[in-house]
Amino acid sequence: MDGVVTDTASAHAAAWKRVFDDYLTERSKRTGEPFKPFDTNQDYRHYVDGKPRYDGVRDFLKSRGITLPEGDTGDTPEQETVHGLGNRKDRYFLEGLRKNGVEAYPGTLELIRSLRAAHVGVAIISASRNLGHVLEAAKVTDLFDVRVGGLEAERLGLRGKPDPAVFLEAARELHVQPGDAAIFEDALAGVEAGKRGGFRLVVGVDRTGHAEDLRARGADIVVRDPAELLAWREGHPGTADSLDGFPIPTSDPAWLVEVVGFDPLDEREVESWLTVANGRTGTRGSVEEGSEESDPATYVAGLFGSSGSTRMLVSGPEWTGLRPRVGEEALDLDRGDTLEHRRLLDLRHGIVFRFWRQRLDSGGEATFRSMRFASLADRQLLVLEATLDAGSAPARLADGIPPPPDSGALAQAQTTHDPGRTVIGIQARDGGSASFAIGTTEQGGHLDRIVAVERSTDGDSPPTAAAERTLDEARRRGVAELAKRHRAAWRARWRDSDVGVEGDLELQRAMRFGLYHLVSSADPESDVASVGARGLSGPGYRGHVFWDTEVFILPFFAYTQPETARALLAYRHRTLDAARARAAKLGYRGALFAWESADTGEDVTPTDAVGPDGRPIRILTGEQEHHVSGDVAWATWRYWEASGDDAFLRSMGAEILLETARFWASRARRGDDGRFHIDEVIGPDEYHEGVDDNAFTNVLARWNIERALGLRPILETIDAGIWTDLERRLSVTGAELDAWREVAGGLVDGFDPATKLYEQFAGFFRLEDIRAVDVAPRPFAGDVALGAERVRGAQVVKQADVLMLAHMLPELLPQEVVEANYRYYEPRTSHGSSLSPAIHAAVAARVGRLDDAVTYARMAGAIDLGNGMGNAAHGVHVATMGGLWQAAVMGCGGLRVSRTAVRLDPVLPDAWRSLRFPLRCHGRRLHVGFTAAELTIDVDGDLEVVLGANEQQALQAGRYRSTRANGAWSTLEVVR
Amino acid sequence: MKPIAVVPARASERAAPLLRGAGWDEAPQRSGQERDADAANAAVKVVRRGDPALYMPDDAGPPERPRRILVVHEGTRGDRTGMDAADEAAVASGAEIVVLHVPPAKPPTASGSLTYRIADHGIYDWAEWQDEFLRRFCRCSPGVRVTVRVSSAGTSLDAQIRDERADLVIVSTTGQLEAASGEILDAVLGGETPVLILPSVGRDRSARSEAELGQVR
Repeated sequence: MDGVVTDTASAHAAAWKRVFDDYLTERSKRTGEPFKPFDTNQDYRHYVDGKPRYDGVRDFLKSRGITLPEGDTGDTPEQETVHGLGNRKDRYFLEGLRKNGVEAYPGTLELIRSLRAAHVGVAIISASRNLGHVLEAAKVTDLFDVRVGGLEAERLGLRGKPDPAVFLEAARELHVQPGDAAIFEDALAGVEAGKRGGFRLVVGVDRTGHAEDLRARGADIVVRDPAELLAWREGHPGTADSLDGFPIPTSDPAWLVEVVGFDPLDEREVESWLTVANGRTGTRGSVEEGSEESDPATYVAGLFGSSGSTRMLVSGPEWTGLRPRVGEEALDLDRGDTLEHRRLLDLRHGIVFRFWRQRLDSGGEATFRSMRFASLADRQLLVLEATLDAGSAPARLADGIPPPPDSGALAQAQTTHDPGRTVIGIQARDGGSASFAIGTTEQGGHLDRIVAVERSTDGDSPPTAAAERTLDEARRRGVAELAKRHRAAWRARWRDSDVGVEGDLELQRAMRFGLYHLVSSADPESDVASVGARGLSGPGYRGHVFWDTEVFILPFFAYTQPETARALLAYRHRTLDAARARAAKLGYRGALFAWESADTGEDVTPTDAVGPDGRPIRILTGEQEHHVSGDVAWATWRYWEASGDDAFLRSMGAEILLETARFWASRARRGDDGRFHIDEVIGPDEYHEGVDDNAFTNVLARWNIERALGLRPILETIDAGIWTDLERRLSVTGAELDAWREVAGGLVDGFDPATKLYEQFAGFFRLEDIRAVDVAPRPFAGDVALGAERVRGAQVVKQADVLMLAHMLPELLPQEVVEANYRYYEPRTSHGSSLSPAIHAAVAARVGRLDDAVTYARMAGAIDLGNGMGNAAHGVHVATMGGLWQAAVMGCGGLRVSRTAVRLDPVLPDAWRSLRFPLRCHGRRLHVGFTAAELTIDVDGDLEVVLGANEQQALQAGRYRSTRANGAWSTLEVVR
Repeated sequence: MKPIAVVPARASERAAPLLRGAGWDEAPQRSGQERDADAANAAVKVVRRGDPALYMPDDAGPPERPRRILVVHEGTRGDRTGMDAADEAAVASGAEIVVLHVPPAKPPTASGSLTYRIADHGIYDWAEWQDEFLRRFCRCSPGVRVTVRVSSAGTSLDAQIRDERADLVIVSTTGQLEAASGEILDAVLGGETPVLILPSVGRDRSARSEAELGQVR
């Protein structure tokens, strides 16, 4: 603070001089030592500036060979102790403050306001116990998100500068890693602390001519006033991170996916990784000039065409297409020599950058740069900016944009051209429509392109006028402003969702890569679409929505961005009629959601395929994988528990829960044994089809029915009339509820209390006992390794149903049951599904197999970035990414959220130094961070929390801390 | 292609129609390994010298031109030599090419590699993987069919050769296949089908330069 934000350095220096000169004079008289006055330049800088007051006293006196008794903080200013002199300095300083007031440096304030406008968190740090007084005197109390002053440092036991503890504390409270933060310091000790703390940038502020000292202690750059940085930026209006007017990406490897070079074999996989999307549209990361290896595509969420199982996402025009050329010579990776080619996905800001230097056939050299994004702030907008520099040679970039190719899903496309503007309307076959209004401005080798996308799902003609209006408005704002809004939206999103895995860079990057694609795939503002298995990153699975969305993806949103979780469930509610029709078609009641769903909710699962051995396969998932209805019910309940969104429960959730329960009650049959059974299903383990009494399905069905049966008192608490209304509207009778109760009470679940094992399905334990771990290195496709026939007759599973159950319904499976089932099923699991490793990581963490947890988390993280599935070319695996989040937060964090409390039971693998994550539960924002030994929770309001095996605690807004000893967490203590 | 050594050398006459039919009409070299009792080992030795070898089992009765060629492929750019040879032979003979992908136990890390590991939904994943595999490695070979065998590489090949009734097997001993080559070679050299074994190849010619190859950081 002092010397950077407020001009109190001179007041401090004056106070110190008065204290020490008084003392040294008196001492000189007493001892005969020569009097040497306190030097407000050298002595101040080297011994007291930036340090806690008592440290300053001690260090200065030591420099004069003087040692005084420590005393304590209660010493009067007259006492000849370290604390006494320190208190005397404080008195003098406050006297000066009252007498003279304090000024804040205008340049610093301007920079801070600019940063805050860009949603950059700002903390103020001071060794002074008077931080609050000074900020009030300077009238700048509202400029800082976080304060760490002398009082806070004392309370938290933080050591003073040059120890980095106060800076690290501030970073933690801002929820940023030191590697993502900058420090402004004028004190030498502060600069050293910033460097020691591993901060990304240490800015030395030199107002008194000690720049060389600041650099010598570690300042990365030195400015006379922080406003110089603002002035620099104003000269570069593109964004907060720009160079020569062109944006630049972060260089932090934990926030970056960088592809160096151009390998034609990997290109389609890279295109999937580098997708820019915002839940409304998704554009693959194809090179602008195109290549033989490219599969460019832009998908509009919810825009499906064709019919039945071939119904697929429609691809829009290739709006990123350019034809860069120097004179008449085309810039092409296949022509001339590539000197440099790099593509970077800046995860923090959701922007894909490209840098390319090419020696032309003609001998010249050209440099191409581009950046593109799908705006998270303005979801109708897509932006491309590109430059081509070929020295004095004329450079051009733009080319016409052709209509999209017909993949079978497109009914028609219509293009109109005006100068600088192309409008392409596309109509899906038997589906909705969309309009792309594309505005391009090119001048002197610099191109700005803004695309406005509007969609219509009602079968009307493409909403061209709306797209043009949106484009006009966006062009008025300009690319720089749009980029600024987009970056700010991403930064805000990361504040609510970033998971920090300290100590494992690869996993950290994989985690953020996953979170980037999760956020990119969903739209909190619309129920038109849900998240398909590949998000909006590729044509894989035709864009269809599976159970993955509710079980793997939705929890991430439910606990970090509830609005999105609600929108995903609203999509299911919107398709409830189709689910009712499907159940009825199969002879059941209630709602059976589509195993594969597109836009209308009708089941679009294919029925036939050809397998890896060239033989035809009959696809039974659509006919038998009925657990999807339980999965939707599970997500509905979990969302409501976490959010407390009663309006959702009454308007949508209750209906979903009742109709799915009704389905299960009709799906179960009473057996000769008097119990209820569910026959001929497929569980998550799809190696075993047509099985009876699948434990996952039956337990979930029972849970689903029980939740529905418990709805009435809940709804009556919310609104006395809503239950009656539902009863009438859904024709729910008391007799029917009794029947449900009977089914729930009588459903077999395959649990054996003696062994504590759930049998995956009736007869599973009698199958050939082959352990996957003995067959081949995992993961592997069990049906390929052993053959479909043999794997059907063996205990090798694709993913472990019972462990999935343990993960989804931890309240039903005691720890010893989970442990027994983990021991049994884990070795028998081939992980032949991308969904398997992450959930195994989560369950492994819960049973204390922390090394397994890390192994499986890394396996999940490699599904796309390591192309572990071998099909990332067709899009990334969004569900795996959601699973990875669950492995960290629900597995290692031990998160469980009930209606009344947030439960945490953290465990930290040795491979990690710490884990931290934000949450939104019960209307509160939490930030949880822990090491193996210590945990902190920041919460912004009243919240009930259960930590480990402790009693439930009522927290209020503030920070809490717990320590772990002998495997148990201490009671949460308020820190402030 | 470099001149192909026929092993055992005494089979040169018998191999001539196959070599001509496949368009590999360079004069076959004698292997000089007549004294080696184990002709299969002799073939391997030839390959280790850097030369291609055509192993002719004693009881192989090859047709004048191959009708179905089985290419063993581990999913790396190094397998390109095998595909190139198969392409040449297919063009010359009209043979069908079947690619047998045997995923190496340890997934290759080199850029451009693509192995079949797992599948969420056989309906989609296999088709997607196959499409990508063909585009990566078999772009010049229209009509190629790809199959996969996991588990023991040798067992896979045994079964697949029998199933496919291939009359020529092509194996590239490159990359990580080297680690499994013992099993694979045992399988292909233990059968009744002629086997063309190709030595390691350097860079894929489709790559522009090592510095340009895609690397993820």
